[in-house]
Amino acid sequence: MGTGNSIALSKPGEEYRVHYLNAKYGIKSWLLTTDHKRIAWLYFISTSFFFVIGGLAATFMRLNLVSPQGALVQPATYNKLFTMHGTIMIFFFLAPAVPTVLGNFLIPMMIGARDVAFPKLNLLSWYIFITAGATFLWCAISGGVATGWTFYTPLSSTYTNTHVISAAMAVFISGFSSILTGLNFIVTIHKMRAPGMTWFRLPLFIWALYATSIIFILAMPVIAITMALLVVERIFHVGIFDPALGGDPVLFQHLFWFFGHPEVYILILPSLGVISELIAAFSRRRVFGYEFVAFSSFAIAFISFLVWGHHMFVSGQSIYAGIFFSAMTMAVAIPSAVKVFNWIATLYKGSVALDAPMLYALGFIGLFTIGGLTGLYLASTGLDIFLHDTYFVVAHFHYIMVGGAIMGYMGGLHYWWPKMTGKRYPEHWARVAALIIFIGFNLTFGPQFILGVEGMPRRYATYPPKFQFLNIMSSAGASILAVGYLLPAIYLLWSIKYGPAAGPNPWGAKGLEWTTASPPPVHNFDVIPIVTEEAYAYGHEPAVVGSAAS
Amino acid sequence: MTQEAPSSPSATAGFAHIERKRLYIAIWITLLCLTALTTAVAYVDLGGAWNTVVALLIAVGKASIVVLFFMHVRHVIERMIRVVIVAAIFFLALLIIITVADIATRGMLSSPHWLTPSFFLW
Repeated sequence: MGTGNSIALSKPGEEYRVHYLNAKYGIKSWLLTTDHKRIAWLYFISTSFFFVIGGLAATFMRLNLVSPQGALVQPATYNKLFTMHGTIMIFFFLAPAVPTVLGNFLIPMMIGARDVAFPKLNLLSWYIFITAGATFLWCAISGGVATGWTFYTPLSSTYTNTHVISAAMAVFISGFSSILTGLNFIVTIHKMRAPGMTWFRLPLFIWALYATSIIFILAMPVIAITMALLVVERIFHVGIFDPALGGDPVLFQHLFWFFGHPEVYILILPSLGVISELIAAFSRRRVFGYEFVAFSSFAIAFISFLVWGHHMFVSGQSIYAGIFFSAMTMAVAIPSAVKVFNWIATLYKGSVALDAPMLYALGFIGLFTIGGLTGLYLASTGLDIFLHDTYFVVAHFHYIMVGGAIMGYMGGLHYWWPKMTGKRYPEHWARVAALIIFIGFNLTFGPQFILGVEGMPRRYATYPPKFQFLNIMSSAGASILAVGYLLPAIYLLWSIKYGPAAGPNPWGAKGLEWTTASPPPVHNFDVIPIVTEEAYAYGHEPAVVGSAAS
Repeated sequence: MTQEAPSSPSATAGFAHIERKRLYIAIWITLLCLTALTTAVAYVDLGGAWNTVVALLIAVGKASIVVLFFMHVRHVIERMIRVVIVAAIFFLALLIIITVADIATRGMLSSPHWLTPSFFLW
């Protein structure tokens, strides 16, 4: 047992207490841990690493686009950069970030369990994830791949000379990590809830992760087999997607997007769950229409499997399929809107506190709404022909992925950071960072809507000079966004060593995770709690404004 | 004092049945025979799309055997596991049916002859 002298989060003079961070020491205690909280940290460190790598690729892209002729790299290199950016951000940051970092840490604590159902499987998921990530990095270092994250055939199967096989294998492997995580979460939520924790007392974050886990299990096998088929065709020339061999390239798009669109909801659903927690905690109210918000996660998960063809309106897909997919895409907006309207109704007459997590939540609502509504433009078959593969699409999905998923992740990270570390971060700096991220984000991606409508296609290293002003605006916004992301990296790390102790419940929030110490003991609860009240059972107590360190 | 949550008695019931080793070997041999049959049929021209149809039928048969015996699904009694199995088949069916519907209607560029404005106005 250590004495708290290396990573212990207690300062001299503070009472020493054994918790999950100081119960064991040494690299082995981390790499062989089966504690869900420590595994969450393993994921936090590894996904943050991939976020930096993916962000660097984006930085080079934005620098290149400052000049119409391309200021930095050759077109072939640019192709590799956007492939690296998309693949890393989607498979190695966005998909795992909220479920494996916040989900891993919080699911057992929120449902009153001591760990997930299969702790060893949980660690195995991380090792599979790392194997996949290392495979993709090896691919990047050995020359990279230039197909885009979508690996469309026949480019990927026949024409490109870049490292498709190692990239496809990386995606193939990463899928298994997600499947195991999803399986673990579903069983945990079913079987390990504390006495009294009925389904309708579960926090909405748990409902969202449950729906996400279902998508993990149903969608990931499809991308795995699709990547395997791609590799088989590329190596053995078996005719699956290549028309010259008797295959169908549109079949690849069907298989890819059957996974690919639910994948979008894998990225956003967990953040939708985070936002429900934040809105309730910082407005001191039960989430309005709890049951509707809970079931809307399932509605989104289900309909997400019926919309994939909206990526294929101009691919030669049947017009009747196009009509069906267009209608289904319109339909998926309904459960998304249910969430947004219910959050707003929750805020109404709430005791709203504008702490940093809430700023992220409010930013999320606006940006997610813009991202969702512009998605409806693209769901209209006629309009999509005009906007397809333009920067309008890039702007739309970044409003969902960055404005939605990452804002939710950042909000959640700030909210539960005191629980994870036992330390409070500087609230003032956190609010400034949230504001900078919001401004930087809109400056980066707002102009891209206009670029798209004006006809600038995506995935080109050069462009006509008339687009330069908006591109410079976008690149300037990206640099502000980068500063916005750098700030939390600095002050959150700072807080681990220098931040004041958080106490068990710094926000005065409801939920089982706030009933235990910060950082939590190794097995989360000294005594398994018995749940007697619904989620978000707030009275009319005022919010603890500015409760974190200022 | 620690209070442990009661474990569900049905937690292991879904997979309680253990098959005999002889049965596993028989299934394995059956799978090998069906693989040989798939290969043999590939060398025979059955005409039209029938080679594909036969290959798919054999593949479905093999998958069913694996699911029923190796994955113990024929002994599943827990309702939740049944739901999972049905859901998996349902979503696979969605993928196949909608994809095939696209391929089947891809050549139909104009509206069907009965789908005219008067159809909506009668």
